[in-house]
Amino acid sequence: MFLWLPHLRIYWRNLLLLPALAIFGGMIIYPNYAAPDDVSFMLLVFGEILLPPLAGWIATGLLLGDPCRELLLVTPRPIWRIVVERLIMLMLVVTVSWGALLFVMWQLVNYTLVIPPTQLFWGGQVSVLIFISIGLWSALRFRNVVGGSIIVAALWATGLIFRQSLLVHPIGHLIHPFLTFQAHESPLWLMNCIMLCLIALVFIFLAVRLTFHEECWLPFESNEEIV
Amino acid sequence: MIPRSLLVITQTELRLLTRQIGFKLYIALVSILAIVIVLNTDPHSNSLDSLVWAVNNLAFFQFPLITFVVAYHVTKNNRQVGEWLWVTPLELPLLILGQWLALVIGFAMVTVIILMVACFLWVFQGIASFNLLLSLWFYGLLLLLPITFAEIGIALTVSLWVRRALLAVLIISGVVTLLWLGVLMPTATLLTPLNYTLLTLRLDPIAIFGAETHLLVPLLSFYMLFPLSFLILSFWIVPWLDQRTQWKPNHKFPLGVFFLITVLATSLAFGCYFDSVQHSIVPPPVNEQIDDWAVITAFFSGSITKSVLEITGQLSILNQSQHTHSSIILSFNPGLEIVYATINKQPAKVAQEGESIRLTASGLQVNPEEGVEIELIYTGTPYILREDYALVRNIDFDGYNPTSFRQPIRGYIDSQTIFLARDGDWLVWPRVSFPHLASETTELQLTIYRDLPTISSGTMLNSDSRGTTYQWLNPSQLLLVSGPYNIHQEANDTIWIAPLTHSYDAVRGSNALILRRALAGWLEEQRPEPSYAAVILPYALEVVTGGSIIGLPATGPELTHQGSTHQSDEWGIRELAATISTAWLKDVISWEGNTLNFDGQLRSSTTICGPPDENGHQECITYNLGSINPQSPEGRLTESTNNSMLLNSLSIMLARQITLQITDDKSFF
Repeated sequence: MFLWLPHLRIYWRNLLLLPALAIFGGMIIYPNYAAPDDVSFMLLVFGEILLPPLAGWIATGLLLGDPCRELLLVTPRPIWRIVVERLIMLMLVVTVSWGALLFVMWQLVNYTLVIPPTQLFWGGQVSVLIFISIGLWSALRFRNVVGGSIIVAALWATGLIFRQSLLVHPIGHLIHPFLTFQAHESPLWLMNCIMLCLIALVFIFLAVRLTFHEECWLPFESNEEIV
Repeated sequence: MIPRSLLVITQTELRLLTRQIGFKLYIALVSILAIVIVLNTDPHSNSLDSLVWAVNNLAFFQFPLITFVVAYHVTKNNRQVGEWLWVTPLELPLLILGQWLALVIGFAMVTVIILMVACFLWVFQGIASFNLLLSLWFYGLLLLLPITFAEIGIALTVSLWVRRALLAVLIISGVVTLLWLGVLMPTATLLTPLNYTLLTLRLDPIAIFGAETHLLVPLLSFYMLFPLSFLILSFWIVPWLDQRTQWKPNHKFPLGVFFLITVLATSLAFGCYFDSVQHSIVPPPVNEQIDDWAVITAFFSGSITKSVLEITGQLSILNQSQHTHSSIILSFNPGLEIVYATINKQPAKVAQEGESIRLTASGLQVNPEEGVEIELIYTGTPYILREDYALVRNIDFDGYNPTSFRQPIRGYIDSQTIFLARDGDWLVWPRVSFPHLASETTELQLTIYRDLPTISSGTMLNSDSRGTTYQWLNPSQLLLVSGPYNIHQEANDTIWIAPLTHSYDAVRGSNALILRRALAGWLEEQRPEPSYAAVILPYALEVVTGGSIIGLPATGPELTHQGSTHQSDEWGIRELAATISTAWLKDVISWEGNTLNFDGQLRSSTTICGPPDENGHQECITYNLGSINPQSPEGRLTESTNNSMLLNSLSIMLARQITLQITDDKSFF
């Protein structure tokens, strides 16, 4: 059974940032950028550059950000299952937010986006998936939300800094986290999506494996951070 | 007196910060970032250009990373730890101040170490020499520490105000990314490291901060002050946001006074910075009296004390145009100020108009072929415009925009450095496209009151412990250079190298001397034991000669940008030979003058036009390239090089001949 409400209740403030950001993005994009190529560019900036790290940062707290982590350890429900449920929930909220924004903007510009909306949508989704998986895995690996967040930020910054250098070699096209933004006409775009999905699945698998060692997830910050 | 509890909180917060795995990851990532930046340094840059490049990149990319550590460190008090804090008799300002101090100390330590590592790597790369490592590190800290300070302040304040780490991280990272992608451009903001002053900062190997000081001091002061204002404001905002804490500051009056002081100081720093930015923009041009006057005689005498120039000038000029003039326009540096002026012994009114002055007197009417006597006394420190010495940067990846409306640097004075060339606007002169030489006599006397190494093409009249007086009669272009130079002796010749210059400059200086000797041996009257000097000029971008002195621009991206990328091989020697030949020919022979015009493209924008339609109408779109390079929208009166065919031919022939003296390079043509 999928427990929606408890997860939503715990993370609603973080999850609310995603649709809020989408509404804010729409409010900025539509009045200021009327040309179809400008709208496509701004949608890509939102869906592939801004949304993935935010989702990745939220993913770092999917287990460690739980205020009642101790209780999870005494429930008969395995932790890995809770983490996967929360991951699906996060991905759904991202999909709805991003999809709604894209659909509304597509309607508003009279279906004249330069890049096909399906490509825009899946490009953003794949980026979000890779950031979420790496965020979740790194946070669990370091047993620290900040550590995971910094890894997400580092991946993001590396992708942005080397966004042109990565295109020099075909392998770069395959692993580019922002290929739709940088080269949406690349013949390897579909392969890039598949490759990133596979990498994301590997990281999710590794993260799930980490949750098997339950004693590691006992909170220790209250012993350490008394001022 | 600092309360003991503040020290305890700072110490505890510092301990907690250094224990955070996020902080350790921050150190690792910033170290990797610094190494990547250093390894990507342009090998043709001098050490100071590399430093500016590294500081800009570090300051920009460390900001989101700092935000992570700061946001999570500060908002931990909203979780379980906060419950402990609520029941302690701790004052909120002390807690926030303690957190802030701990963060400043922690990140400052990382900055100090990272910059030292970067400097060491430059030494291994050969961009900087080992004995200058400490100087380079010190200059880097002067730039990077205030920016880091401001970044910590912004991250801390945003985290305290929004009370959620994720939201603070999202806000700051979002703004930084949108700026970097150019979405929030063209307004490059003051509150991020994408500030136009820092992006286009030009540190000179001789003058170091030099011409940038008046921009940097208020900017860095602003970066230090505004986080303090916001921090104090947080003392009231944080308890208001979280009423449960009951944390109201106890010492409201002293805190209020301190807040007012910081706000006033911040406003003052911002005002000074804004004023300096306005001064760095080219003033509107005046399109009158170009080549209307011929100078018959000119006499100047003056002195330079510290950075203040004081000149008395007497000019006899002739109206060679077809018009009658009721005023006289002279080119004049905007940093100088006229103390006294007369026209034909009558007191004159002076009005500064852009890079010139307009002299008027009652009843003045100068008919064609009529002469006028002008006497002027002026003082001040001439300043050079950023347009002329700093490369133009674009926020996009294509780097530099084409420069336009740029004048050659022909004069620079500060408390450590002097560079004076004859045709500079530090010497008042009618606006002419010809060399600033009077048709009969041009005489200049200058007394320099300083004890730094000085080289001059003039005659030394007298010298004592207070100063040295030089005299020039019909002077050549390069008059005098003074600064903290290292002087290398090569047989009878000397090479004047700046301490922080690129190692290529010594090679270029040595090659320039050999070429100059070859030129003299072929075309000049033989002198017993002649000695020559090559000197690296501050801010200059062209080769200038004056008698036995050759002034060379310093190696850096400006020189690379002009196409001189091969500086030590045969191609570099050819280029050097060609520029020296041209400079020498221009110095010894009067050629057709350069052209003064208003042609050029504003660098802040570019216009792309589509193909013409059937009516010949073209649709053009003007793109703003970002306001990081402020520029006068009207353009500027500039000097276009107007080399004659004969001058070009002679230069190439001379260059080939003197190149053959030092290389076997016969592939010149």
